[in-house]
Amino acid sequence: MEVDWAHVQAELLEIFWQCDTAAEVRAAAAAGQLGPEATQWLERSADKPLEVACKLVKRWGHRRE
Amino acid sequence: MHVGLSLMTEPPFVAAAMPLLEAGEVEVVEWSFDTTWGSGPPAWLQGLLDHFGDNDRLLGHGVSWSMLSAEWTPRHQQWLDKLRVEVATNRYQHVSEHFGWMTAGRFSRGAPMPLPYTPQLVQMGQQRMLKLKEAAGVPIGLELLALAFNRRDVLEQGRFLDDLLRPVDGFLLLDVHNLYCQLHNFRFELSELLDSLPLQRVRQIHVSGGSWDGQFRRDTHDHAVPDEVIAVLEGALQRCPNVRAVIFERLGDTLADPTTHEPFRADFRRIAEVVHGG
Repeated sequence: MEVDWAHVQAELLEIFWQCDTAAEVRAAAAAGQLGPEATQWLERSADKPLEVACKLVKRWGHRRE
Repeated sequence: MHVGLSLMTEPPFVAAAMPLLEAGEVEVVEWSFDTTWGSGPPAWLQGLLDHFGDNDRLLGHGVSWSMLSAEWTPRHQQWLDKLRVEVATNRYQHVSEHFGWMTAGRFSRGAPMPLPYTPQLVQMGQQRMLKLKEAAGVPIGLELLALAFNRRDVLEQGRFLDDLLRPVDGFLLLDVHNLYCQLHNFRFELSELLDSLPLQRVRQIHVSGGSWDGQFRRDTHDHAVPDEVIAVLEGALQRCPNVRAVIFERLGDTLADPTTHEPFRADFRRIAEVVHGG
């Protein structure tokens, strides 16, 4: 089944923008609409890279209001 | 094989790098062309681009295209249109971009993020690479990503890259600090990771320093090159028969303290020594 990766990527960046910890990322992902494939991908992820992704998006991300 | 620098526009970088350039130690340069689109490179830098371009020693590097963003936006097309102008202006031997994605939804800038290997994403990425090849008009390549979310992402990145590069006969830009990040953060042996990569496709190598976030290694280009990264460079060079250039990267604003300039030059010379078998 096709995954709507455009939607997944937009959701992920919003989650990384709003969260600081892996636990927050996982909770937000579980409550969101990432779909089964992207959710499983995040479930396989280690905690620290998710935390670093949050830092990277806040450091380099430019978000339109 | 030539050794060179990734050019930065900040005055501290110029001060640190000038003795290397004046002494003719810099054999090739890489320019991240999309960092000054809009304003254009400063005049002194354009002079360097012309000089190295005329001598077939200029490499192009893009940092903001976001090739695996699933949504194709006007910004992506505009980037390709600007690339056409860029390659008509400067004589690049090849052009590289980053594997991964950084923009989506409301985000128009960011840092490269990983994606899992899936046939759907491979197919999308292959289409993007065809667009890049058409716009660049010179050989194109992709840089290995530092950040991975899990061990499987790391192990599958080589297959992903090979699938994207094969249809355009593209090259792999092997960043040995990124490789070091993956080795350390996910507890791999160097040989295990090298085995997972299409090493015949490596045409260029990046070397840099980075920083620690607790026990996690990050590719921040802001500190000296550690011994462990030099060891990765040595190991990679033994396995990559088609490397043409090794480029040292350091962010310009991390050289504001003049006491960092000599260590910066020492890093460059150490890399040159490894490359030239000194």
